[in-house]
Amino acid sequence: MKHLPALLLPAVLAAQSLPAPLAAHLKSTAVLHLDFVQTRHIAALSRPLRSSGSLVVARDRGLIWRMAKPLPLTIVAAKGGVLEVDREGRRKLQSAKDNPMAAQMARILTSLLQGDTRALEGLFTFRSSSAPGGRWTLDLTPQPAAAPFVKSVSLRGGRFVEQVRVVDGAGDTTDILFSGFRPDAALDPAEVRLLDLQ
Amino acid sequence: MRFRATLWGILLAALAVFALLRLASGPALETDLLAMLPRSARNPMADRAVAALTHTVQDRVVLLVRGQDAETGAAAARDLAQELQRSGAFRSVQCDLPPVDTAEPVRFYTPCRTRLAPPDLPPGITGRDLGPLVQARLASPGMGALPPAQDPFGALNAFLGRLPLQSAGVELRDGLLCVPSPEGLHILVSAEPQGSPFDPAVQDRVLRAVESAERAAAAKGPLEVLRTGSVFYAADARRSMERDVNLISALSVVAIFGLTFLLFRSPRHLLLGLASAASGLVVGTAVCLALFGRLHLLTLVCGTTVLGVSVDYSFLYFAHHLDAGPAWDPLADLRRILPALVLALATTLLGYAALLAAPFPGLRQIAVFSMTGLGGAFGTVVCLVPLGLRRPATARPAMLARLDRVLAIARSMATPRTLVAALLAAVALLGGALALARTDDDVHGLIQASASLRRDETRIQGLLKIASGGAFILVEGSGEAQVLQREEALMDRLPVGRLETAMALSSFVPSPARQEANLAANRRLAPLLLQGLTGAGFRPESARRALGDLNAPPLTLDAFLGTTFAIPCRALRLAPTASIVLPLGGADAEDLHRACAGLPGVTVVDKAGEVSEMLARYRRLATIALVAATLLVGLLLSTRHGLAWGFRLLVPPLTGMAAGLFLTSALGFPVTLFTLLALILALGFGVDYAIFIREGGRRPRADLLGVCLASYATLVSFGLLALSTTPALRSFGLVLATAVLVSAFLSILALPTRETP
Repeated sequence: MKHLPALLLPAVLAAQSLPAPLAAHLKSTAVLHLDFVQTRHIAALSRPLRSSGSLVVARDRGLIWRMAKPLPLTIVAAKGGVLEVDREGRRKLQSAKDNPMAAQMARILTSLLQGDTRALEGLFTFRSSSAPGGRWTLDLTPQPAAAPFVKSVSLRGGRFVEQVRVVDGAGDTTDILFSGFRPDAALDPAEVRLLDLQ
Repeated sequence: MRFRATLWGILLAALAVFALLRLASGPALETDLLAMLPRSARNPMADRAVAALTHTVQDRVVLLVRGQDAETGAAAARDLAQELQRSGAFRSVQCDLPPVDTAEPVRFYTPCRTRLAPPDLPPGITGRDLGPLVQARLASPGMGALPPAQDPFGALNAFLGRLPLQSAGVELRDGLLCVPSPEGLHILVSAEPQGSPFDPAVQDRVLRAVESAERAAAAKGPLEVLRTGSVFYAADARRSMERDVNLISALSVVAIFGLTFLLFRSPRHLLLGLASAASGLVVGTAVCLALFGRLHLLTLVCGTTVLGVSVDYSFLYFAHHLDAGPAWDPLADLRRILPALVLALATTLLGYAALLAAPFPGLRQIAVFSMTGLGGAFGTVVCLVPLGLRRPATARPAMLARLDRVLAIARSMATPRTLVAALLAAVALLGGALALARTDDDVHGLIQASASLRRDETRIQGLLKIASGGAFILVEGSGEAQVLQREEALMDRLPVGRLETAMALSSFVPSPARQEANLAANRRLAPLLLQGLTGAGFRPESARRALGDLNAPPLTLDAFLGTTFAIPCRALRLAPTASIVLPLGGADAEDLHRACAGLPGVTVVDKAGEVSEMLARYRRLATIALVAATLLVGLLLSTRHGLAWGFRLLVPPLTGMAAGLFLTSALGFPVTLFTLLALILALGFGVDYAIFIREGGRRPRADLLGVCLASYATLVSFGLLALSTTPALRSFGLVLATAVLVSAFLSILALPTRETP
């Protein structure tokens, strides 16, 4: 009986893979520019919080979250840590030394962008289902270690990820809609600098 | 004579009985090499800290298991852990961790977050501008444990993010602690042995358990297991010391007494020689057990070398026996050589007396063992051996004729020219030695672990990213508050050099002063923050909640240490007045010293470094002792033989010492305290031969034979030390063997010339 978990392990690992179209996209696209619109329903707020902006996803380097509304704010997640740039251009860097947890999350994010789901293995179980026309849904259910912080994560898309819904531990919901996909437009020098966390 | 013999016999018997009883009554052998070293009497709290860390960290057995892939590795690690648990050799075995409550730190710190950090605001911001800023934060992706809604100013997330909750390089996967590496995934299994790592029974049980568990796990597939833990080092050290004792003593006995038998052709001399050596060992063992309680294994290793010296006295006596032929009178001939024996004993004891002054318990024990052992051998030669050698020796004309020829050659070489040549050689060798010599007082030269153990340790340290050397920081103060404050003063300075982070209690519980300052800041900014929150869209009730408890009770160290996630930190708290700060990463002692410079109550504890420093200090003192001993011996000889002869008798040992020092330096061994001690002993032994020859007078042939035999025995026993696994002892043996060889050869200079009576 005690060998059962060991036997199940390969089966679980096989399931921990991304939907085929998404995996293919991640493999083939090195840089993706896109826009997003985010709606957050937070119990403590009297109104839902809406924000919008653009995203740069660089497969081998990291992610740039450039919010335009309600306030210009740029957050960069790369292997070395997290960089925050406010509207005045002031930079705040959190590397592995300053904030190991944030740096680890950034590392997990960047490896996810490369299709590497190993870091999420102990934290979530994946379940993906496909629909006609190359569309898919991916549901992540938290393991006990992640459960207090995240209740569920679901993604939906076709060639690209089009929608993400996250319910956090407190029950607050985040809905993000992605659009305006511009694959393989090159990174401009400013973006390169940001991804180097400078 | 008879009376003296009986008295001595009774004394020996009594000591033998005492020694046997003591050995039978319980563990009498000490195998912990570090017990040889002095305690740091400087700071008892530092010793407590070292003991606490040693127990929690170093005594544990740590195994890193790597299989062909993650699954087989995990299965193998679990099998291994089960086997270890089943063996009964361990008090506890950890492989699968109990499920970790990841939300515990959040639950623990949220009620008192107003005391943990001030809100993180851009300077000079107004309430009106704060609203959109909070909104932006609320909308941005959260990279912390708490969603932005629960920690709108990010202070608690920043605090939690900084906590050193997980060692660098170690990940938790599927309940197992793993270390990823380019070669594959290593899985951590740790276990606490049942008993002290220096107990031979515990060592055997642990080694057997680990080996059989590894074999069982490896039967299922290829496996790599790296191991570390003080048990392995202790077992290693004990095995090599035991091998040394067995090998060296066995070879010594065979070489020395083999020659005795071959030369004297009668079992009588062999038995008497054995008796004097054995009585030396009995006296040495008994006195040490009486004075010290336990005998260190290292004393036995060095003590077996005393065998070679203790037979010197009996050899001189036997040489005279052989030489005297029919004119042998046991007592008269004893009286004739007695001055030589006494002077030789005195000079050797003078050499060992230098060891007595060392603050090392181990060296003092070696000195006591050797001195009493030699005294015992001397006593037996003087009181008992004559009784066994009453009849004259069988005539050996051929051998005596050969000796005469050797004596003639020796006499022809004992010219002033040889003396000058020896002096020049001594100066040249000394010069060469000083040019080639380098000092290295690192205490790790005393401990030579096996290559595989050292390889494993280096790899494990690289994978777990723990600092080697074992140095850490001790923070002391008048009470908990001051200790935490002093820790903060240190932590605020980091990074310094290669010391980037450290694990300190103050990272988890800010000092009361800092808590008050944070609370005051939160209170002062409360109206501003409230404005920002309501501007961002917070409901009034939620906004007040988001501010945190402005009357939060103080966070205490006791409350923190009572949580589950604080368990790894419990060892850091030594006492209400002292705590340990553990450096993480690859910092060395120098970086630690720089970080702690000028901070009151903050000191670096570096046991290995301290001992190395002490070894260096005593090396310098030993150099002075060597010079002093040389002068004393010279003085002793001059009072007996006059200044000219006194000097002449010193030339053989001094040349021998120079030769020994030169050879060991030329071969690359560093000059350590042990080299100096070897030189001091070389003085004591080397001068013996010159004394034997000088004091002989009427029987120069016998003295020459005695010197040859004695130097051969000493050469063999110290030369055999060169087979020891400890580099310090190898160098020790080499210096002494070379010095003895050269001194023995040059002792011909002590031959009385035709003019002197």
